[in-house]
Amino acid sequence: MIRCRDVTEVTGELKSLPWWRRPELWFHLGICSACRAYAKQMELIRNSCRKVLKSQIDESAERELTKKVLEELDKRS
Amino acid sequence: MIEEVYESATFVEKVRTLDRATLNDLVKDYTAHLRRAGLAMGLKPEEVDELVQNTWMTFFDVANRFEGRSKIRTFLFGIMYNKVRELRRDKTKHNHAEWNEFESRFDETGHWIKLPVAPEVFVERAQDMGMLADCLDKLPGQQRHAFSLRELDELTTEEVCEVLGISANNLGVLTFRAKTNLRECLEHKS
Repeated sequence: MIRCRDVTEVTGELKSLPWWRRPELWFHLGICSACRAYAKQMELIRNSCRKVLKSQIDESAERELTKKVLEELDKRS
Repeated sequence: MIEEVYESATFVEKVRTLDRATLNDLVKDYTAHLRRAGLAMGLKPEEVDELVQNTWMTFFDVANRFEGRSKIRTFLFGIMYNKVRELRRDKTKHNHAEWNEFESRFDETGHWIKLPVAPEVFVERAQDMGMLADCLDKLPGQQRHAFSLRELDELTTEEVCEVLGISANNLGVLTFRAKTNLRECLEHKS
């Protein structure tokens, strides 16, 4: 039988289950609200972190930096 | 430019001989990627520009020894990662508290002792960018680097492993621990 601990490792993408054990996982998630909550939270964390990473992108700073590096390269030759 | 062009023998030769047009193309293509990766690894905007510039300077110094055994992109990110580690050496916090917290949530039969917080409460915290950024900053260095580089999607999983010098298995463990620690951290925030 699959245990809660194993379920967190699967939904947290540490381990993958062989296909024939998938129904067991779905059944467990169906009856265990704690594991369901945990799986949702893992997904939420990934999505929100992606948003944080995207929000850090500053295209004008990137262009500026590229220009600076090219100037440094000019000075070297 | 397309990756295949960057893997041909003539390209490697051009890098080795410091062909000016080739170096220009590389700078134009990869500076933005490097800056994004630097920020993802936890550098402040005021630190990251200097770091990326230093990365390029080192690259120009060692490019004549580039053998084309790894992709040019991995080579560059590798140089930058070493610099990030040097910079962070004294500042890394080792915080195992949250991980232990996770371990103690299960009994010996693998069942929950301490249930995760209700989804409604958690959603709010996870969507609070300030809170999340704060929790990201608390992650041990390697966990943060592994997790962020992978989520950033600028490198393939294999490339992330090569840059960090770890196995795929190790990367899986690090990212799992990172997510677990983030979850615990958010749950403890109020």
